[in-house]
Amino acid sequence: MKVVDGTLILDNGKTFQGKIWKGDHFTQKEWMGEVVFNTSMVGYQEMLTDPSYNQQILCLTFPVIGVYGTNKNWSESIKAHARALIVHDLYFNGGEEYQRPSLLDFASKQQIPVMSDIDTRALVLELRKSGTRKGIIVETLAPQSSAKTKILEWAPRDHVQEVSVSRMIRMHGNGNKNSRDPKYRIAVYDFGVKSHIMESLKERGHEVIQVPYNTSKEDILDLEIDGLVLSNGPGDPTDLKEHLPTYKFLAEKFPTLGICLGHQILCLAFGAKTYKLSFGHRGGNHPVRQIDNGRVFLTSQNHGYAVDRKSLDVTDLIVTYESLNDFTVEGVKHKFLPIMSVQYHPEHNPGPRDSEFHFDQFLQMVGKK
Amino acid sequence: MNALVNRKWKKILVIGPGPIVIAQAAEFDYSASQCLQILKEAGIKSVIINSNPATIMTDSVMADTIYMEPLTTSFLKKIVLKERPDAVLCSFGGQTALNLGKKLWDEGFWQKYQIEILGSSIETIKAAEDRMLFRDEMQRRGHPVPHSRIITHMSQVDSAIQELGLPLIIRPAYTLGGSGGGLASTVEEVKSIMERGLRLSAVNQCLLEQSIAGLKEIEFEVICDHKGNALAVCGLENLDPVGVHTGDSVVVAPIMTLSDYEVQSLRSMSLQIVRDLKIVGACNVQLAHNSKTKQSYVIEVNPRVSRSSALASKATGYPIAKVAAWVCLGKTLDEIINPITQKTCAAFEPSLDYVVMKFPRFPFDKFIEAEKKLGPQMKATGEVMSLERNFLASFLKGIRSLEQGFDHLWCAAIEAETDDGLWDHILRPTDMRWFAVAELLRRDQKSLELIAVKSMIAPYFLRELQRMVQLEVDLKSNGINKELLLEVKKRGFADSAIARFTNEAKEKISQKRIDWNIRPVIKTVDSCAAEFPAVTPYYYLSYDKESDVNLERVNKNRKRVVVLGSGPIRIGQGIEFDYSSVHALNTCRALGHETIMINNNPETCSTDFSFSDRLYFVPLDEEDVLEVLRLEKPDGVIVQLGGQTPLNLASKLERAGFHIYGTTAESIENSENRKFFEVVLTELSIRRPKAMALDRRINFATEAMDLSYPLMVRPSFVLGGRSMAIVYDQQELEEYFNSKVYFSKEAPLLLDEYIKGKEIEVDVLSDGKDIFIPGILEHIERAGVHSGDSMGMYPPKLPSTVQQEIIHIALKLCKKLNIRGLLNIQFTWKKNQLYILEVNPRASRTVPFMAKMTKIPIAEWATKLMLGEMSVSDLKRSHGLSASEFLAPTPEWVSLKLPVFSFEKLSMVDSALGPEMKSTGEVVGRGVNFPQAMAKGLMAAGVKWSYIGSVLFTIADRFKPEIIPLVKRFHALGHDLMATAGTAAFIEKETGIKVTVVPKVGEADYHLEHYLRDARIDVVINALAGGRNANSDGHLLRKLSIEMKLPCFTSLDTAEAFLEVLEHQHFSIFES
Repeated sequence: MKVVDGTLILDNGKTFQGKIWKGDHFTQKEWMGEVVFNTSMVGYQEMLTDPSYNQQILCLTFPVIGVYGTNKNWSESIKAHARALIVHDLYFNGGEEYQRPSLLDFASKQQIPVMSDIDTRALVLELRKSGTRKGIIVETLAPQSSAKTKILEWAPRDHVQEVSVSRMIRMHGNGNKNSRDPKYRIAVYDFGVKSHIMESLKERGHEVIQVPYNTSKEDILDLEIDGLVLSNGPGDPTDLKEHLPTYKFLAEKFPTLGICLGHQILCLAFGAKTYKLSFGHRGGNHPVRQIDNGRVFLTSQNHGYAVDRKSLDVTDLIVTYESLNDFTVEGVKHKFLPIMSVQYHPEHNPGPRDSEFHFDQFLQMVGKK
Repeated sequence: MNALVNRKWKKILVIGPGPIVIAQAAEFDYSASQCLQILKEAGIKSVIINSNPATIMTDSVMADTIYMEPLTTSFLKKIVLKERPDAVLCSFGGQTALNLGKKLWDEGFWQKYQIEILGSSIETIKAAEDRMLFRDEMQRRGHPVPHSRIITHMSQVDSAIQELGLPLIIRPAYTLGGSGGGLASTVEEVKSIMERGLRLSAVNQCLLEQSIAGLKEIEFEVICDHKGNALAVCGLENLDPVGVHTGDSVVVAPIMTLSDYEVQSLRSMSLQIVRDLKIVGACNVQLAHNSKTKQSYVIEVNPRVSRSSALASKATGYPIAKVAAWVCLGKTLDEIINPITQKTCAAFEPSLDYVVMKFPRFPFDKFIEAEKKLGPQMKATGEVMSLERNFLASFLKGIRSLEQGFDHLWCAAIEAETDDGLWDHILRPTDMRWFAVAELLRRDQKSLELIAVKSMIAPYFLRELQRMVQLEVDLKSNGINKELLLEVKKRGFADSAIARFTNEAKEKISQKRIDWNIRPVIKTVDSCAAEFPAVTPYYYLSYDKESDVNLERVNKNRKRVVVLGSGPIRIGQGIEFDYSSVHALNTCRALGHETIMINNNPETCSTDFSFSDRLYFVPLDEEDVLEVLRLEKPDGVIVQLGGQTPLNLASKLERAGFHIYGTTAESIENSENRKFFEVVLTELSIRRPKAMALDRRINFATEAMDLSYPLMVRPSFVLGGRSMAIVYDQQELEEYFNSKVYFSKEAPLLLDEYIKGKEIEVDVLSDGKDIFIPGILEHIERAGVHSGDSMGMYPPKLPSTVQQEIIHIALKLCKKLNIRGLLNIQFTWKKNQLYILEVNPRASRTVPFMAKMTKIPIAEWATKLMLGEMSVSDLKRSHGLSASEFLAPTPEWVSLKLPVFSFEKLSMVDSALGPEMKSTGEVVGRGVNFPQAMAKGLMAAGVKWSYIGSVLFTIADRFKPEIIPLVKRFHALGHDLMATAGTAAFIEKETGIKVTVVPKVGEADYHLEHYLRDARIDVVINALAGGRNANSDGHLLRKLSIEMKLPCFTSLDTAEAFLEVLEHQHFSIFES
């Protein structure tokens, strides 16, 4: 393990100094990405491996990170997707109590650097005031101006392409094979899917087929599925506009659940608009209200874009859930068809489990078809 | 917003918590005050009943109608019938209020008068609190609980032990803070704890439960509205595994050693439990978690605001009591405005970007003979909270905040222990266990694994302490350099501790730190980790990089005033000082000043951020307070209202260049300096008991002493030995010398002639020229009983000449000492002579009581005097008093202040009253005459008595002549007289009245203990010579009286006052 002094430079020129920890054989010396923060106090491994953090530098607001180590069961995908992790107080012996690998072991294996000793609260205040920023981490306390030029020129690209599977993967449901409960076949469009979305379906006994983001409607139809899930994923939903007709066609044909990016894509496909939030919603304490009955619960969120509420007026979608923090759209359903989507993460991991019921709702919808 | 509140409630009754006792402290003043604020906001008339005068909730501005009456069902009913409220809130006044609410429900009282119970229903409360119902409900709902059996009779114990196996935990139902519970590893232990537990339980019921000691103890503070919307405001992790009461545990938030998977499992379980029980309002859920097997258990729930909810509120910034009050009024969480952001709603869970910890404050410095082992029965009297950006720094700040003379997790007495001694502190946990852990690590850092295995403390916490030990090694071996200094400051080391490890002067370290610009920055507690703009003016200091706030003055003319608080609640410095501090804040704000509070007690009103313009949660030590002052650059600091804590800082702050409002630091020092003060008294020809200071033992064979017995003796420095005592002769004095008493030139032993006269106390308001005394408080017990433990009466029965002399002396003293603000003076009056016993240049603990009884806002006036904005004559005029009046008009009622003790929580502590304070709280009793006031005060204090019965006397020879009049009066009332042999013989000889002799232990098979246990005695009068011999009969007698809940009087003055009550309520008959 190597440690060097380092600086995070934002594209507005603000700098934050700290230490960079990286594996011995990790040769990369600078890292670029969109700098975002998450307010969840636990769940660092789940966040790092969430493909939605692709091309982002993740700053955690809770200052002490790494205490309970890492565990292969907690990863939300096969690798870490964040470009770097920024923390205040990195704990090295994490996992000792449970004989688990430490966070640094994990990060080193995943070839991502951990930047520590940053005044993360000051960084968060900066991001909150000036909005999400691009940033570059360099291994020096006195960075040259070229680093800043570099970050100004850099732009995120091929977000979904980078994280989606390249071919279909079939998975059987868990549980009692002899049970009389119906078993469905669900296709999950992988825009950077968190494995717990698929787990949530599998543990309810259903077959899941993870499909690449660009799978054609014919290929999907050939699968003879009972329901469709549009997954979460990184970046701007409008990047996928050429595929929107396919998603719309399939959603009109099969009971459909959209989650996070999948929710935005669904809304776009049905004619709504999306926009970029100033600094996004990332955390495990986001309150959401169910509009028809006033029920309130806490959700896990991770998104930088949102659906324009007004733009839904001209579509057949209606708002079902809203954020109690900023009243942005948190969920929609189709007026006539079995289509629902939510902006937050019913699969949690990390975060509260209050909205897990959406999977049952969705499966009921599938069952009615 | 108010439209959402159910309009049918026009008037709501709030039941308060009563006096401060262990496990029910200032947190309920905070929560009940918050609740009253919400009722006001909702436009509903409020009625509060609470017997504790030293509270903000009983202030005239808090509620529409205030009753400072005993919290008993009969008084409650009387008030309800008079007020006829539409509804009642009983979940804001602790267990006391909940129990009262339940009792009246069981009697059908609320139902009969159609008074709605707001919040959780009584069925819900019972299901949550009755151990049997709770266990059944949890099992039915599939929530895991440890195996257990309900015991209602001793005969069930044997089979239960066989079924469950040892060790076992005994939990009595319906007691405060686990009173009477315990962990038992042998059959005998089970039986002895069970016997006591059954007696203490209000329903004679105990739970015998498989021990889950050693598992992680996790708590969630949950709020649930009537629609079943539930959220967890805060998860708390106890550093001490299950086995130590959570009130005695060191606690950290957020939960640190569990993964997201585990945290969410436990959170979901907590929310489901609260929904299953149909709780409406706040609820604390306690869970045990086995990190190896991942098995969790539900320990218990508290279906009300609690100590933990107060802590969680201060730890996160989320005001649980306020939100719970709205929820009880029928709002849903999304309808309640979040007071922190003022934009979003209360339906969110705070995210912390700091590590916050709570440390218990134990009374073992006062009760040196108390059993210091910690278990399921809470022993702490108070707590402190600390915030920092890493665990170790938060931990060390907490240790400093406790004000127990520790600036670091290091203690000389622990350092002197053997390894076995240290392990003993850890494995049978004591108040010093964390010091012992650190010491073991200092001796061998490799012992960490063994400590983790044996103590079940999570390795993470131990690693952080190991980090501390390693930093100490670095300091010792390398001395100090900039990098290391920055690191140890980040990790919470105090300058004074760094100085000790590097062998440098503390001033030098502080100076180096300033030279190298290693200074703390201000960070905000905003409940959302900076995600939203917050309006909370609530801060802590951290050695991080950037400050959150800009303290530039917008309005240069606006005064900036800092008020220093009183820190943790302890015996001798309680909620009274928080009351005065809050009044200072309110006064300064009303005057338009920028008002800043510094304190570290999470239970209190003063640390409610809505009471000040800015609140700092830091240790009240020189270093931290100075850092805040250097950042704030205030116009001045108020040190007179927070008790001794801020007063002790006065001269240090002044030396650092900060202005002290009111009496100067020099005057404060002078009035506390014995020698100087003696000179002043001589000069003013004011009498005081003859005194001397000894820096060594007297050799009585060769030296004579210029004082006459009896003497009051006290060391100026207490070191685990005995402290204050009254000695009656040379032999007793020599015995005192022989006990572990420490004296030297720097800390001499102080001896005063003890004058057993009437004790009188005044709080004087002074501007240095003129004074005003709101009222003279006359003590019931003569001097010798600590003023905090005596009963006080107002108005006094003193002749007016004495009152005039008191005014005269007070005026002379205030002028001489140039007092601006408050001066507390204690007198003793004997044979028409007044002697000064003590002065304190600050608010005393009687301020709230006197303020309420005299209707003079003492703390407010004191603040105005300190700030120099008004003179005494201005204040008098503002209150319609003439310049020549020195006392407030005499009220028509007699008011008594009675002390309340927590002896049943502290085994081995002697309840005999003496010169050391032992009470934890106070109540007020008001009546048309003395006996009525006294009767109400006793009821409020929880004393229960029968009007006729038997009274037991055990009296030391010295006091025997004094009891004869009392004996005769008890006899005339029809009481049976009982006494131990010596006392009996004396009584019979003097009065001829027949007395039943009660044998002492060892004198007969059926002895004193059996008499008490078999309830053959109703009142105990026990005046002994003193002495801290825990095995004496007197000690046993007092212990048993507490267990049997009998009135036990160790001062004959109190006994006489009690007798007056009996005589008032019952006829005496005389043989002529």
